[in-house]
Amino acid sequence: MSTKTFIVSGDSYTVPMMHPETPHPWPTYLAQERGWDLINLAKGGGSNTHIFNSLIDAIEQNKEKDIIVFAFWSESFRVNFFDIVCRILESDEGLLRQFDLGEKDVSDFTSSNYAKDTSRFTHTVVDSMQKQIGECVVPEIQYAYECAVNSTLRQMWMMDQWCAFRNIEFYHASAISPFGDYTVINTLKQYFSLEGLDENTHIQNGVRRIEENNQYYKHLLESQNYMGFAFDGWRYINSNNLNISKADHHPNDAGHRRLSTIIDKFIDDKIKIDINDGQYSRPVYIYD
Amino acid sequence: MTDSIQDRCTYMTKKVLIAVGDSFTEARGITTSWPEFLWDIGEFDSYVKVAKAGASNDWIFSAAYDAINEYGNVELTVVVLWSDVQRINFFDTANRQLAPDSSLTFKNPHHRYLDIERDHSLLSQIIMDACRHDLIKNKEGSPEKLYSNILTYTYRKLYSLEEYCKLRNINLYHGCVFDLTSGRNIVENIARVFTVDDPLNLRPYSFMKYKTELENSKSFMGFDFRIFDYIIETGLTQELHPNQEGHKQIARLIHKFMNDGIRPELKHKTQHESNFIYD
Repeated sequence: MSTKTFIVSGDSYTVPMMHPETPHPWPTYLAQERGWDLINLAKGGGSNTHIFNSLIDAIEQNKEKDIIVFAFWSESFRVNFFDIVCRILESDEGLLRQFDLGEKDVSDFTSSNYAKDTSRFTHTVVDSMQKQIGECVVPEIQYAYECAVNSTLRQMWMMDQWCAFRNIEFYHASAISPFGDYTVINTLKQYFSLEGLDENTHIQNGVRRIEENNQYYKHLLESQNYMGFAFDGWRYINSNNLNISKADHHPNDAGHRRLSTIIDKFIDDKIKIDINDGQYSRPVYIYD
Repeated sequence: MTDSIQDRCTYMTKKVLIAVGDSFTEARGITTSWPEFLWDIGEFDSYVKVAKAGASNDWIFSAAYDAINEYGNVELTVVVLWSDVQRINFFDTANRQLAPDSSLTFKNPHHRYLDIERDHSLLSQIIMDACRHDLIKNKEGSPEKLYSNILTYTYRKLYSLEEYCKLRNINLYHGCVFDLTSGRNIVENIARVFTVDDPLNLRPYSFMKYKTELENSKSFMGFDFRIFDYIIETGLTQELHPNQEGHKQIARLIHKFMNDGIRPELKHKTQHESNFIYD
């Protein structure tokens, strides 16, 4: 019997050697447990387009092998440039908040290349989005949010369908919820009007419309391979105090081992974990 | 999407044509565009046109996928005209053209797209800077590598749509509006961040994923036939886009390719310069 090859892609939750404290990410533990060969394509700050493209490439390159594929999806507001670099859209307020958590001050912000580049990039992109949004039936800011989430849901479903058509064993989960939280609206409101509603209301209205109307959301709800919207790595790790530190929300070593265990279990029993506390959320990370 | 054109015939039947593309398919100001002509001369019961001026290949791929999934239970034929490799899609909301400053006309203060061109210039610089930073960090910093990645990013889209349509038994025919293999604009944009000693001879890597599959594909009209060059050499233009007769000819060319599988050819190999900026 041939050894299975476990092909995994994701963001910083999956990337090897993210921190000195976490030499092995969860896929390494899972592959060791199962006796599988491992191909880990994750990238720190990786967007869902990076995850999708890297998996398509690896499936093509390894289609003669006995493969099992896993996508640990990231948040929606990340952009991939030519499979070289990914950028996270983040408001100035969000970047400052992360510096605050890390007990740094504003002078650190202004001297940080990451913060400056992210801020400059975010302003340029959100400005472009506002200029090109066109007419919509809901507030523009909500529509922009829905479009970004839809892009992620489409990729998630496409990979699910792609593997199903090719009889490839595939599982997936979200490391960070595709829905994000009010901080996403904070990013958009740098150029879009809030139109008299607060950030949380826009998120709630956007999520409700997606739940009611989005075909990819509905397909994913029914997918046996997806661990569900009621689970995401960040909330699971955070609610179980398995983070590296208060300022760094990535999983510590025990967190990676726990992720390996629950994903291992899902592959066996397909039982979805429900950690839904009624509110989606997202961390803010600095990748310098 | 709200700002794209989605034309549909008023009746829904069994054989449906889905036409997807950029401004060469949207055809603003044209009474009848190539999808309508193709529907007219082909054997389709109805058609759907999903197109947007300035669309990136990412947007085109997603629009095709959305349309295919919307019309799941009929016999579908999908025809796609792909766009420029340097257009970037931001969440299906905005599409932006990356371009070198030499192709932008913002030095003319009376130009009506002055602010937009400044935006394009800034974005192009930001993205090229970010690419260079990461390439060097990963010890892969070369203009050839960046060139290859820019092209492969689009080739994967073409290949993925072909594979997806094959898996779903959907007829697909596709071609390109612009050159997908090289271009002065790409090289000059790369030269924003890398020293390119000999721009005329800068080439991507000889091997690029998916390119061979596309070269051998029976549903792809080939890299050598470019709709933009075709309408320029035939003079069927209106503001550098196909005029009414140009759209009719494009429909005929696609229809012929659908029937005989023979790739159309240009009379001349000349590549005409294209600089399209949309607001």
